[in-house]
Amino acid sequence: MTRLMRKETDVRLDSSSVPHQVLLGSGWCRVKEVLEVWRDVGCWWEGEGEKTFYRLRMENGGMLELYRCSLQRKWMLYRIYD
Amino acid sequence: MGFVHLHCHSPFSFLDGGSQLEELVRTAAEAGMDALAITDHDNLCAAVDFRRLAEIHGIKPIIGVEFTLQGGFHLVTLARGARGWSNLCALVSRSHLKNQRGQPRLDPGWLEELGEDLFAFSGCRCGEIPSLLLRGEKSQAKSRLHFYRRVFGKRFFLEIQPGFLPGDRMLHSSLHELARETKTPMVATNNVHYAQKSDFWVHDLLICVRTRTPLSKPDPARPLNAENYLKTPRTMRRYFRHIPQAIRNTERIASECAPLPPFGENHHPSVNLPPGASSQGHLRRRVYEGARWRYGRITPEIEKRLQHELGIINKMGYADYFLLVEDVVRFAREKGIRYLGRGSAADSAVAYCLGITQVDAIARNHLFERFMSPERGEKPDIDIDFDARRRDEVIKYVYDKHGADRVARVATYQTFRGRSAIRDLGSVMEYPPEEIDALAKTLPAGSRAGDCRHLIESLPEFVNRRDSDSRWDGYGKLLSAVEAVGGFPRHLGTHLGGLVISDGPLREITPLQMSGGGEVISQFDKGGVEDLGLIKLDILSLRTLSAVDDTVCEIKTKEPDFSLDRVSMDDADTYRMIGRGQTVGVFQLESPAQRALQARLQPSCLEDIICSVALIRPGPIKGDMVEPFIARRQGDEPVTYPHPLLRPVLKKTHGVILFQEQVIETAVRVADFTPGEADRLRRVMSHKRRGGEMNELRALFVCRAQQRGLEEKVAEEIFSSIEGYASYGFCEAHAAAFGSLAYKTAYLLCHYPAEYYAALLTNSPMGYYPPNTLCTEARQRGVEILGVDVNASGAKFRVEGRNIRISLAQVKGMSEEALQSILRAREESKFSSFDDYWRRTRVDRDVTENLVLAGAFRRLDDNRRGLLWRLPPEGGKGGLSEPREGIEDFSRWEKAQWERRILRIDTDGSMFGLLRPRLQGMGVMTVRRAKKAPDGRRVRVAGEVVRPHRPPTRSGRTVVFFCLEDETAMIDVTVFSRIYAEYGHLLFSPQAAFLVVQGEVQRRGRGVSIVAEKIFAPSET
Repeated sequence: MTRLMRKETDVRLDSSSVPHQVLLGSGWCRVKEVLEVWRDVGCWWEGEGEKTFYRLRMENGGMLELYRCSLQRKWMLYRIYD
Repeated sequence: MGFVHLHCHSPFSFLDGGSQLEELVRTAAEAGMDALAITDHDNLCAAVDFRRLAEIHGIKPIIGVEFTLQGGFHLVTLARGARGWSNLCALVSRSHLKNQRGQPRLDPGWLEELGEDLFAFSGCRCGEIPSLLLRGEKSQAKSRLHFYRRVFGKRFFLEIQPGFLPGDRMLHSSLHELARETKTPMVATNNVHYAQKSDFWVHDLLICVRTRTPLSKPDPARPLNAENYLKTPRTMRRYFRHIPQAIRNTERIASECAPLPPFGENHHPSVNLPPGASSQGHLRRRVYEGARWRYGRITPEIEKRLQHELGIINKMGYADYFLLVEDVVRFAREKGIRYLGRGSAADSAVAYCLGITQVDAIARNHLFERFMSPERGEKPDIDIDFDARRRDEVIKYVYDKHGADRVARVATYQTFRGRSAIRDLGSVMEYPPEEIDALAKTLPAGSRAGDCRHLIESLPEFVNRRDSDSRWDGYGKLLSAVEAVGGFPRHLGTHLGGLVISDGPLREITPLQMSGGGEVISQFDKGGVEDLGLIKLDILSLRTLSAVDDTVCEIKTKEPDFSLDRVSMDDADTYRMIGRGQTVGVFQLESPAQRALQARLQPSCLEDIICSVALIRPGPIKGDMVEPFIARRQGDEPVTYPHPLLRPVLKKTHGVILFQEQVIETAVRVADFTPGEADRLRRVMSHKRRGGEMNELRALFVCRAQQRGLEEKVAEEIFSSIEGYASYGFCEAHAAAFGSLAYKTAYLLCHYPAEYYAALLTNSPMGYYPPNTLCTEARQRGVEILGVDVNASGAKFRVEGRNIRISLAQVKGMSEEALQSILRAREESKFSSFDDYWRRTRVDRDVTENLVLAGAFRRLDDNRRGLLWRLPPEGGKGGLSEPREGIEDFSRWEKAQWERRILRIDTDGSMFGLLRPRLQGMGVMTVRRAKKAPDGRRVRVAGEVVRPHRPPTRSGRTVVFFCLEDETAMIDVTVFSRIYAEYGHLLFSPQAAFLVVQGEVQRRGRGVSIVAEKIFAPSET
């Protein structure tokens, strides 16, 4: 099961610009493994910017997806796997 | 370590490539790549252009194909050398020709036979192996890998791409593992579909067009992201830093591939060579036989000229080509098929002696080097027009003669034009269909996609509509898209008459596929097949020749000895008719501009007609050659020459440099250029190439002229005078070929108007004017147009006495089957009644309805509404119902309107006749009366708008010309830019048909026209 979140969050990157820590609730959670990276242009004809998605396994055992939009320059928590 | 993109789609992937070929090549070169591969879907269309562009940009062209396999999987292949190219051609041809049109499929089994000298990659996610891995079927993937390894050996690579797609990590890991286990090399690619990331949207739009998907709707074929661009070597290396061998392999593969396709080979077939004879020797024999046929005696002058031409033809290796063309025209002559060799081929005495052209190049002193010269090194191009109805016989002969596997049609690349781009893109961008339709229809036909924005913002027909309709503000995005796809190939078409012929099976030299018309076509266009060393033959069709043939046949029923070849070329009546501008229907002389020219020029010899053909062209008009020519021809202006040396060259054109051949001859006479050098000068001048090449030629010209005793200043003056005109000149040989036919059609019109107009009408659509205009003109000459009659009309328009009977085929919706049914029944006996017709024919209800409305039963029962009542209901079958009393017939106006709609002819001019009282009330006079009004008189006329157009003008301003036609005559109308700005929306509206024009009569020579001051629809008064 997954839950769609679409909530702004904050992310710390490593030297390769890959998410290293994600702000979940009030605390930072470390990334254990980047499982997948993909990009999606969305509805470009409506002015939507390209998003880079990351599927991450966290050190606490959780799994989540987040993305960064190239236009808004914000990190969004997209989906959490239960 | 470098990197080369080996999987890249050009626009020739047809709606799956978002950048122009040149942009891809340039981007690759600028990124420092030494080579680039183009791998379009199931075709090699880009190959020839790609090689040329790659040479320009200094990179190696590698050519390949991304095949669609049975089952829909993809497989990328690259040709290593000439054998690989040949195998690619054979595989592409087979995958097209052995499958349904539009669904090419490669059977992997063919690769065992034709996989030699090819590299192959596992492909994108649509590849067989990646698809199996994504589905988790690893053992099956391994099994297929073993198959490809067996076929290609070390030339098979597992392909890995930085696609940034969900599942990439798993796929990459599986591919890596498979490679390790099977010791299969890997290769990094990016499945490129556009040059820059920012071009992604164009690619997505084109896919939407291809899949007919609205932009807002998803489709599996649409890309998820914008990653398929030409990534830099650095980006690719960084992404695959953990698999450096996949990057290294790109360079290794590129280094092993030869630049392809092979250029400069000769695949010319030999034709009719006697045993032991060479092509050169046989051509010489045929030419001398032809010279004796043409001239009777071969004089030293003729001998010298033929030797000169044969020397060049043999040196350039085209003896086979001439023999091939001769064979085709000889077949046509033997079968009585009319043809006309045209273009610069008419500069050749050899072509004349072989019967290819009808222009005596020696008598007319034409220069052969305009047609062929070793310095130019271009392949000769002989265009031949055949009677349109019999051209297929000629084409069949070529197939039969050379074998179906050695002949194919030539392709054309149908590119996005303004109208098609607006329709396609407007549809996927979800604009309302009716708005898109109106927008497309209002654009001038043939507008370039890149010009649409400018046209819409400047043409009055758009400006007026935009000002009154706020919806027009929303077209910005559409126009940006239209501009972006301008010039992109949309689909493959078939060249009108181009055939490619080879000395061996074509499928190994050029890729083949099936055309929409069911013919096998090369995937290359005219230039492409020639670059591959193939012969291209242009077998074109000309309806004028069909009309001429019909006319002559009709004349021969009364004058059995009549021959068009023997008519006088100095017939005074014919020249008088042309001089009155009464040339509607005359080949090449019928446009308003030509009619106006003739009325001023007063031609009296064939040379005048030849010059006329050359004068009314964009070049001479823009170059201001028309007015000086007329003034000098009429004696209103002295004939002067830039230098006395040029007198013999320019005498026939009254001192005006009109023909390209004159530029060549000037350089030969004045500066002792060889004809080949002189032709180079012409081409440099005509393409307005300035700078180095022009300066070099100018210096050479002046130097050589001085050596011949001319002063430097004089030589400079002569050079400047030809330089000013060269870019506007027309090919004299072509003008001579067309001029002769123009005169002969004028002769037929002058002496046999009913026969000629009947033939033109039968062969319509052709020429400049619609059928109704031809009928109006016929009536002007005392030829009545007789209504369509089920008992009297034939399949063709026919002459009855001095009049013309409208054909049954002219009736809208008339099928060949229905037509034959009527004619067969009538052979037994004429129809005695409507019931008799219905009983004895198998013509369906709808065609019968049109026959009734067109008046075809008027002599049996002219109550047309009454007859319609008797027909079975729409879609119903069965007999006629019984006649009913008291059904009131259509009014005369309704009858006239129906006839016009169904026949496209106002049979007796009654439509306007019925409107006349109302028009008189509006102060509108007939066109015939207006044509008699004195110069400067203000008149008001009304009529149908015929052929409004905006030709190029000397001033560069937009001027509209059209013809206005009523029941009495037709008159030319000129609309200058200010009036056009005000009324242009009326002229070019899709609804424009019937308008009132108020303006001033203008008389020039014997021509008369109206300069419009006001234009309006009759309902506006």
